Amino acid sequence: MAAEPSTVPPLPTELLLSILSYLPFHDIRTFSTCSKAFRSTSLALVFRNLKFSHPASTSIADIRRAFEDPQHGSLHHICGRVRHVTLHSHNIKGLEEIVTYFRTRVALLPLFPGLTSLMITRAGLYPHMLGWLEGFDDSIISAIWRMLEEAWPGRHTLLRKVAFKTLDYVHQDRLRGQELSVESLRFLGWDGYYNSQKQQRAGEAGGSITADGYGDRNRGEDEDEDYEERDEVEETGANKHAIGLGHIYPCPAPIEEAYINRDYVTSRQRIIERPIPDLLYLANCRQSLKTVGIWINTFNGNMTPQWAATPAEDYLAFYNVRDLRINMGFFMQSFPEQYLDELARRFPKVEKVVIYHDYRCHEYIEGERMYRYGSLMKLWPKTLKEARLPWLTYFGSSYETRSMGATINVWIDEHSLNKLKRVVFVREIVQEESGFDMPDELEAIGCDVVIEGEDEGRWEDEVKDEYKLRSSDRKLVWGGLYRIPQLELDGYVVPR
Amino acid sequence: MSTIKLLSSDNAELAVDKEVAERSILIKNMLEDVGGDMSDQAIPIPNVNEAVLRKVIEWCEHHKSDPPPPADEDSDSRKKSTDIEEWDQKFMQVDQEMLFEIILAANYLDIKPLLDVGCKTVANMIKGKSPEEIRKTFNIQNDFTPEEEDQIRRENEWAEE
Repeated sequence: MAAEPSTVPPLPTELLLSILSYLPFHDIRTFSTCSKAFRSTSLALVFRNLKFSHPASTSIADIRRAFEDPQHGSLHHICGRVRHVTLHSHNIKGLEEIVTYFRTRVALLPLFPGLTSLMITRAGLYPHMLGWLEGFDDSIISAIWRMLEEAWPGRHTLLRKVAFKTLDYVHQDRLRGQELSVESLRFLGWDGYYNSQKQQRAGEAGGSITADGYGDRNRGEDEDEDYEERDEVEETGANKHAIGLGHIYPCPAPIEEAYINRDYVTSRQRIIERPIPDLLYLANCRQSLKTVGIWINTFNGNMTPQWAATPAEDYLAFYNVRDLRINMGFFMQSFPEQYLDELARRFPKVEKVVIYHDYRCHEYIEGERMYRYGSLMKLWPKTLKEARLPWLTYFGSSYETRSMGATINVWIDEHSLNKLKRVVFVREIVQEESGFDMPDELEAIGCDVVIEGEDEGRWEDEVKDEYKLRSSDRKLVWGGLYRIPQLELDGYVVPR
Repeated sequence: MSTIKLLSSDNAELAVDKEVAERSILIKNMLEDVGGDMSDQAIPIPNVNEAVLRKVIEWCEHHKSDPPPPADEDSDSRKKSTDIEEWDQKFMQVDQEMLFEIILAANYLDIKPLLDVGCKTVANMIKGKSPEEIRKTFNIQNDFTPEEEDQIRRENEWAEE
């Protein structure tokens, strides 16, 4: 006779959760489908992060019912445990539809009072044909803030992390020739970007960013108090002039991390304005914002995009951003002087700079990269402590690795980078067993050579003494300490 | 080396080296509380029977010289691995009932490294399997109706890693 089936391994919930903590997400999700008891144990782990996509096989009514109706499924129990939501729209055809999509999905967010992180991704609407992709996104984001502020009055929200991803290369010609109307965006917070573009930004109706750099909307009484060390920084154009918010509605929550990922289709005619997003919709987060990631891709063969520099008086500076991340293709491809100058002015107190890998990483020879990296490092002589830089060698490396240590010395000495303590070069190694390129890292920490990490011994012969840095108080460490898949490659990692 | 006695839930008295028994934080704290002298009195372990207690002592004997685990071991869940050293793998080749009993005992006695090995062993029994294979492994029934399964399938579409 078969044994009486048990309902669940006879363990208390905390031990089951401990077991599940060793499993990757997809295994936990599978576990949750085995039985009612398994599902109820694992639900809070499975539904910590949500993604509502379009197109999808489920309707908005399905979602509402599942999370609101106790008679319908079990998800209403875990609304308070949800920490992240991704709203993803792919190839929605037409403005009306995209507006409806965001209106209905954003309206779901108040269901999740513990939400700390929000990602909006949008692919397939083609307003760049009208020349206002950037403005369109600003309007969508503004609309989201406005709706969230209504839902979370008094700013009682835990939202601290946002990401916006726009891809404009999907079916790019579908709307060509059609008459587009922006009227329908008004109820979403759209005040007519198309018209407002023709006007001067400064002095527009609505809120403005005032000379001290803060918006006059929703301004708190003591917002200036912990605005530390501001006087040390040279006043930029952004602080000397009032900047109009125009149609932009600033975020009501004190966002700490923001990631912007934009994929552009470029053409000979097209000039991309404001390659560094102006972030006006985070105008009120100037104290709270600590981390910014900007990932910009351009698609159209090898065509070099045309960038229009942002006028100096027309951007906001974020003095409290300590951690800045940018992708390599954009960094290498753009006009360095203009771009670097703007980076330094927009984010004047960066302590950690990260360059993300992208598909263009291999296009540049090592010497060129090191030169460019140096030009980035020197932007923050008073504050920069750490840099994380790609070092991919798909086609072999001719750069002598010991030169890297010497080059770091040059950066430090020539640019007085006295605070720079840690430089991490991220590189790939080939794992012989699998034949798969498993990325790895070389790590340099501020003179004795020390070998550490998983690859202990790997570099020993090469490393000996060769990499000694000149200054006796720094040491250079090489080791395989991290693997690239664990890093935040596309600018955003969903929290766990 | 001093020896102490442990009394299992089924009243079996087992003599153990103090050093070995102190792999259990519960016992270690208990001994500290009474000043370390329990030579003439057995420490009752009311939640653990003799067979399981012997198994736990076997593990503690083998691991008595292990360095203490780093305090921040759990700080980065992404680095959690289900790798288990060979001796422990063999040690855990027991029937499921005993496996769960060992986990419960490790939890009660506060022997974190043993608890980790136990949890990893169960995790490896789930890893990479289909729902049907998991049910078979743990001998459980699918108690969802077809409608509920359909609902779950739709709900799981919203779950993101």
